Amino acid sequence: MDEINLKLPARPEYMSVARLATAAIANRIGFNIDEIEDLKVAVSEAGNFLINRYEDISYLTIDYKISRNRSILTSVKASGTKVPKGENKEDELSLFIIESVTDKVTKQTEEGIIKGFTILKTGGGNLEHE
Amino acid sequence: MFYGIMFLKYQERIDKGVWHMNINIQEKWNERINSWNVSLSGEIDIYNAPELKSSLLKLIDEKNGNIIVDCTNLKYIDSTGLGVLISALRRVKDYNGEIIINNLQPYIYKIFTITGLDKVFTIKVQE
Repeated sequence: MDEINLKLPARPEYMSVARLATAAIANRIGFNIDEIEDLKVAVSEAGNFLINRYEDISYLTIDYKISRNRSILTSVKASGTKVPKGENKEDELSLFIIESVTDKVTKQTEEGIIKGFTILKTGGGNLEHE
Repeated sequence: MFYGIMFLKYQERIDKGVWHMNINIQEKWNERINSWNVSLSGEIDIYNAPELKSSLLKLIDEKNGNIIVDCTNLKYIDSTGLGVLISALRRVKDYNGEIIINNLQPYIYKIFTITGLDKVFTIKVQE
């Protein structure tokens, strides 16, 4: 299993960097265009959710774990999530999109506060069946 | 000479619309069909969605027409971009107008379908 770690300032202008890195990694292990788009969208929406939700995030940490069966387990986590901005109209939309384009998504919560997301996306079919 | 032409092209793009690092918004009023033609290119995300919002709301305030959005060169839109289109649609619906989205890339159309927005906007997808 290969691991890639990315740490970005939790500011809107850096979300394009997260998308670019995600697309490059997904492309590297042979995801097709639709699968690359799906993972890119999911990671970007996870970042959007966290940036929109809290006042006090300094960084987003994005960790990719790449399996031999062509799946990527991505963790998108925020540093500092103690000062909520309140409900945002797009939060539900973000969650809905993440769940729709990935195989599995888990919320990382501490004391009821969403600190991040763990996203599983498998591409190109499962090699175990090939 | 070459750089002069490049500068003129750059200036022309700035003069025609709002141009950001990763998005270009061009707009033109069409009197015949009482509509704004808006062309979007690049990526609409949490960074530049506020700029798109102010551009669309400015158009609506200027003239109450339909908004026809050409997305031929739109590469990406996220939930904040969708939120902007929804809030613009609410304003347009106030005067019984509509927002028509043309030439959407199939993979962007997917985001509209999974969020149910394909039933809210009139959408034409690229072949």
